[in-house]
Amino acid sequence: MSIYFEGAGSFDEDSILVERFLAGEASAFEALYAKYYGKVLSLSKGVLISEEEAADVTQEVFTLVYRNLHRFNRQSKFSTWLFRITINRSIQESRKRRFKHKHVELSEAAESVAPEAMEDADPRIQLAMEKLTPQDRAILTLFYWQEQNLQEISESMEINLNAAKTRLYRARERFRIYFEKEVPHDSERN
Amino acid sequence: MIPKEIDDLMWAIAEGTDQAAIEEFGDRYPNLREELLKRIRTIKALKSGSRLPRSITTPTFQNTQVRPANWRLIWATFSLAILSIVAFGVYRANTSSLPKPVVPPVDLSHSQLPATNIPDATQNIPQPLRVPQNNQNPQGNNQPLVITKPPNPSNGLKTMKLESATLQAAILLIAEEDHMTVTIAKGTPNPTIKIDYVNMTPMDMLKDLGQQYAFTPVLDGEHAILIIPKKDEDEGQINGDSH
Repeated sequence: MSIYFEGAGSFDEDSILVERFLAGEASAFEALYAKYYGKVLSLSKGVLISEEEAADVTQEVFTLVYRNLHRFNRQSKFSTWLFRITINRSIQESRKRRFKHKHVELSEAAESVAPEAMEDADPRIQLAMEKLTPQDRAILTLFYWQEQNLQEISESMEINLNAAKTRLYRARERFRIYFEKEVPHDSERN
Repeated sequence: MIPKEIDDLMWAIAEGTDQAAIEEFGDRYPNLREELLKRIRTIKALKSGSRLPRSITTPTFQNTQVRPANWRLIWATFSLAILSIVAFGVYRANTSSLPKPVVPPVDLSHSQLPATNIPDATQNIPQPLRVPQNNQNPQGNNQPLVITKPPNPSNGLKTMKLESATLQAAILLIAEEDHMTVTIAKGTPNPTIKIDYVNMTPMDMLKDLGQQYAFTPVLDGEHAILIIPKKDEDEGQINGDSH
């Protein structure tokens, strides 16, 4: 695992964009939006599985950020704050969806993934992820998809460092169990 | 059961891309080679899940209705609201401490008499009420005194002409103009008269008739009039004509 750190230049760039937006420059927000749209969508998709729902949540997240950027206290990086909002909103949406679709079969959930995504992603990964809790999916997505380190994850999920480490370990184990069930054994492949 | 340090080592190797480390671990722990391969497969699956569709396009962000918060404007509005509340409070405090306006005396000479005790109407006309000094009501507390004048049914000016009618019929007609009921006491004269009143209140008409034909009209409640004859008047004055 290569631990990803945002460079100082990137951090400064985000801070400057935030300040410019708060000073009334709308184009600064467009720059933040263009820079982080893909990451927010990816993170939301990791929690929600469905790309369609992830796209909706992504729009909501940026709307929230647009309206509440003045509340950003600058004690963390903008990206950490953004991912925290994304995770909270995605988990919230996931709970609503679980309530609505608790009788939907997993296979149907996998089929609901957009065709473009299905071309690239292994459906067994989707099925294993679907069996995890939204919190497990969130921490795995932050670590493996967003390549955040444990410190950043602890800030994004508002938990301490040790809790982040323990949760990541357990989520990875649970994923492995479910994934191994989906993956045919070597003898079955042959 | 895999010891924790070996377990951690396996995850670390699985998450790295160092082929030599994988080979070395396999040589050292041949019984865990398969387990290591599973973990490598798991990590590979987790990382591959992050791929987004190639055709992803960033839609245009639309939130033109919401403007970034202008804290100066918010503070200005909030301060203005606070100032308004304070100013209103001061205004209310000042106005409540001012002396109450003095209500001018009200002439209640036409006020009604009690219906049960009217021996002599001329003696029972009450004196005009006057507002006590220091704006105190008769009970002595500081509540503002509010005097409501009883409704005077004779405010409207009327014109009444009769060529020939009995006095009591004329009284009834005049009272009817003011929607009043009339009780005529026994002994009231009833000559045939002629009247011609222009722009007078019905009560004034009755008073004028009373002076001519020796009776007194007295209000009995809001909508009733008593006609009381004057016993000591000289009936010789009654000549049957008026105006």
